[in-house]
Amino acid sequence: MSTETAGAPPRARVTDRSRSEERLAWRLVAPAVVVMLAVTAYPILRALYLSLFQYRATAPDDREFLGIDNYVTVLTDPLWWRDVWNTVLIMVVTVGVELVIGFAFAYVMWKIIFARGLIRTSILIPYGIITVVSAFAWQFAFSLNNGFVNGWLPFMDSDFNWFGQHWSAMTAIMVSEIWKTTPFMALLLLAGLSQVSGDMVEAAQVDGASWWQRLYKVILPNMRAAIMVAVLFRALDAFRIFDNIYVMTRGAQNTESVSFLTYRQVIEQFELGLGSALSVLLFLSVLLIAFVLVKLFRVDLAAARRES
Amino acid sequence: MTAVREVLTRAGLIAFGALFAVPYALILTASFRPSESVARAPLDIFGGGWSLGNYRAVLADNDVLGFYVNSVIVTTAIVAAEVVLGAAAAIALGHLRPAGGRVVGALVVATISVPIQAIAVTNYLTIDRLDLVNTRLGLIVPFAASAFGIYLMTEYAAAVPASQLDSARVFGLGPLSRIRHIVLPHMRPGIVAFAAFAFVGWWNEFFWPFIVLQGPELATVPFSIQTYIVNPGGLPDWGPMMAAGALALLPLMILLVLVQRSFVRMFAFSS
Repeated sequence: MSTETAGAPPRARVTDRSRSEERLAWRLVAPAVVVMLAVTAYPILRALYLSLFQYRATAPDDREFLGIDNYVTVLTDPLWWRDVWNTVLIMVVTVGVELVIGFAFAYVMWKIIFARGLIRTSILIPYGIITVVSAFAWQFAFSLNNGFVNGWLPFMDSDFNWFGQHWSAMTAIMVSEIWKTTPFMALLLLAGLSQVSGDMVEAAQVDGASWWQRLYKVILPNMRAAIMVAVLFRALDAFRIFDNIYVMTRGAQNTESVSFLTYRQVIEQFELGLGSALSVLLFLSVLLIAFVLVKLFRVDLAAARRES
Repeated sequence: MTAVREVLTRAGLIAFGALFAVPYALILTASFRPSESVARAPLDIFGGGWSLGNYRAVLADNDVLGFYVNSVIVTTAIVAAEVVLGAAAAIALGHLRPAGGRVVGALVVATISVPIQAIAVTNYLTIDRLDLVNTRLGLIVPFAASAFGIYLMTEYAAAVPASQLDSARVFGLGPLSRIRHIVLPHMRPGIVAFAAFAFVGWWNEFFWPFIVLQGPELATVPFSIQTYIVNPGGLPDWGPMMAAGALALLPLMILLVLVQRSFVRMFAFSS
């Protein structure tokens, strides 16, 4: 065996080696791929299949083929569109606000020269708090009987019930979501800022660029990629919001999200077919959002390149 | 003039940061106060007097300790599986790059954005068929591999300088020792940061345990706080709840302090 290898021409030895490396590669990648197929790919395909049936968990034997009826049911139901609207609203508002505040935090962390580690760590605290706990705390803060938000906001009536109507309940949910995730956003943006060259910013300053000009012409264009990752990350996360809503309103006052609707159909109403259709639609929505965001940023990148 | 404005801007930002910190301070101070005093006057941060009573109550309660143990077991198992399977796949896709590896890589990236809720229904049916409902395995197995983790660690594995690999080849190092001595050390910051990121995420996970668990025996911390620390009347027992929340935060803070640097760098990398 060893004489054979030694006697073989060099080229054959290389392919031999690369073949064994190839085998090693597939052996290394196989476990992860098998798991992903089993717990991600298979469930999606199965949801796609089940969504074509009338299928209740309480009567599994009465499964009946429906075709696309479940999708028609969902897409013609105002409830679905209301929840899509809520979810998109929460996503757009929270990610937008987080982007602005998060950037401000990131900028301060970038500029600050003392106690960097300490400040970065303390900004991470809300990120580490369990969402359920933070949602309870905010629910308490906004609550009618002993909450203190009304007392703090001079323009609010002291007996205003935040959870009594749609808009204020949505606001409370969004505030808790923003508080919880802005630090994470700040961290993502800080990662982007740390890639912006300080020399370039200084050069712009020497050339007489104002703070805003430096921000718009130098800093932001140079951290586009980081902004995109941050927005993508947070938008997809915000779109599947569940914990806050479950704790704070249980979906009352039309505050349901798409995830919440899916949960209700499956766990409370045992509608597996309909729930599967909702799962598929949820997945497609997320894909759509990812697609739109990536497109949006690409267009932007191209425009930025043309400008410069 | 600009200096003044900059000082003002920064002061404003710091004040804003403090505003963000206030709710946290309230959660923390509430954890030292009697529940009824918190409920009556939440902002009177010394009201009712401070004591370790809530912590003592939470820690003396075997159930609560059990919730922590459950959380530690489940979270650690998920993170360990995600790191081991993910790093192995990353070495293959980023370093060894077999023919067809690109296709696998693209498929992995495509599944990054799959939300838990979209696969929860069918995963639950599978878990049910395998008799894993209300078991730890049922909490762990669906998340044993992370698409984001594979993607991220692949980037690190692919970033090993070619010159180092070439000289290793010249010295006759086989693929396994190359991986061990060159690729893995390069991937380390990425692995550490991803592990921390995954730990924070799974430690916080509420939805899946909420679906799979049927009783308190295996409850994890977020699930137990929602389900068992809220009074029957629906009003939370604030003191113990906040103490439990603060205790749940402690391991994460230690973790984040330790890995804070590689954490920031990880996101610079992932973009």
